[in-house]
Amino acid sequence: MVNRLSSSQLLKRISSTISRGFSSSAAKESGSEVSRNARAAIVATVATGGLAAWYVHLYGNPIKAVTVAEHGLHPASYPWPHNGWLDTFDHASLRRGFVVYKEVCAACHSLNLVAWRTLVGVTHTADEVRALAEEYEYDSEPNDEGEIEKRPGKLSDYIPAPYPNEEAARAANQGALPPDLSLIVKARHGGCDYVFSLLTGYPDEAPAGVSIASGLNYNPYFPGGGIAMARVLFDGLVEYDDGTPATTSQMAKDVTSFLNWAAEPEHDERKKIGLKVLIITGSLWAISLWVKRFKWAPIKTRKILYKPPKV
Amino acid sequence: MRNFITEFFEAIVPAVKAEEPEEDDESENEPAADEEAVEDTESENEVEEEEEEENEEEEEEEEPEDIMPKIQTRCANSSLCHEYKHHFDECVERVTKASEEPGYQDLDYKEDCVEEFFHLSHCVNECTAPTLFRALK
Repeated sequence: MVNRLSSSQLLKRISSTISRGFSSSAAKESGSEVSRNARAAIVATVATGGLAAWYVHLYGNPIKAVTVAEHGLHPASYPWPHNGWLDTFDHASLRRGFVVYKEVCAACHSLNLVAWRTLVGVTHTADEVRALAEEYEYDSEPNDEGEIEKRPGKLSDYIPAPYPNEEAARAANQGALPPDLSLIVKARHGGCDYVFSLLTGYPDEAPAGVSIASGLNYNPYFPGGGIAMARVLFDGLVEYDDGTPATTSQMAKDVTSFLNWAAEPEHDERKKIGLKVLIITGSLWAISLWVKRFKWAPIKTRKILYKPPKV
Repeated sequence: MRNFITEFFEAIVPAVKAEEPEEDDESENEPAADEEAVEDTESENEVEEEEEEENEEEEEEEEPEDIMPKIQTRCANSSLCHEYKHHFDECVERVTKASEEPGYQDLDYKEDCVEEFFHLSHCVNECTAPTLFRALK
């Protein structure tokens, strides 16, 4: 309050002194019309500058009462195989990642935006995905009596969620809601690095002095440190069909790549199109330069001569 | 498997950050010294790595074992993160000692080691990240 009053008073005082001083001196020197205009301009400038300064003073340095623990540990930046401008996903890794999602994450986390058909040609062949979808039951169209029966899944179905609704999910997880993973890589600061670090970052014990509420687990990457999800990835938890040893970090890397694909299924195509765009705009640029040279050739090569009339 | 081995080998030549402190921990304290030493003993290293690789392979066939904690321990004990580890250990000791004193529960402010832990983790992660992803498939 004190600051606000003093700065506003200061502002008034400055503007009044300037206008007073200027008007008295200017009136003597030149016509009244000019001096009035100049005075208005100066007052407007000073007032605007003052207001801006006042604004910065008030809102320029917001107080952040956040401890490092509440902020969360920033993940290291890992050299993902798809990091480069023209690098695609490692699809063998995506295929393994799907296994991890299906065997581990899918027990609690849904993947609501991903349909079985989208896996075709990305992680599995069409026949493989069909077989995967058929493992689950879906509601069929009403039959002749209007009853809804169950049918095996088809390619066009979406990957089934573990819980029918949010309340059921919370009830089964002590009030904590396992988020849908469809867009999780896009939805968290740090993206892949964060998800990978979170999955592999459960320390054996919380650092000394940290108290964690009951039912929560300590994970430094999770803002606040207390996360309802316990460590889920352990060495040898799943079996990969390509024989890759399923270590914790390997599974975390694969499932994170898979979730990145789920969030950005257009990723590979996007980079390919990006290259095409560069090629096309590049050739248009080249053409425009050549055309310009061609069009300007007569002008650039002309010679202006002055032939004085013979007397 | 074959791919894995070749990848690993390609990775080793320019790589040195995390593997190193284990092999010549005693003789070096500075990263600059590390690099020189590596160039000298490069061929030696390769032989050692080969042996290590074979061992790892055998282990993996029986029961997969994660290399991440190993790399992290190596990084934490390396000269790179020595300072942070020292501060963290000191903090843990201090806080543990304080928590054993009578009346600890009634204290208004109880210290924790989150900040020290974050600094240490940050250092360890930066050191672990490249090596780990080279070793993973």
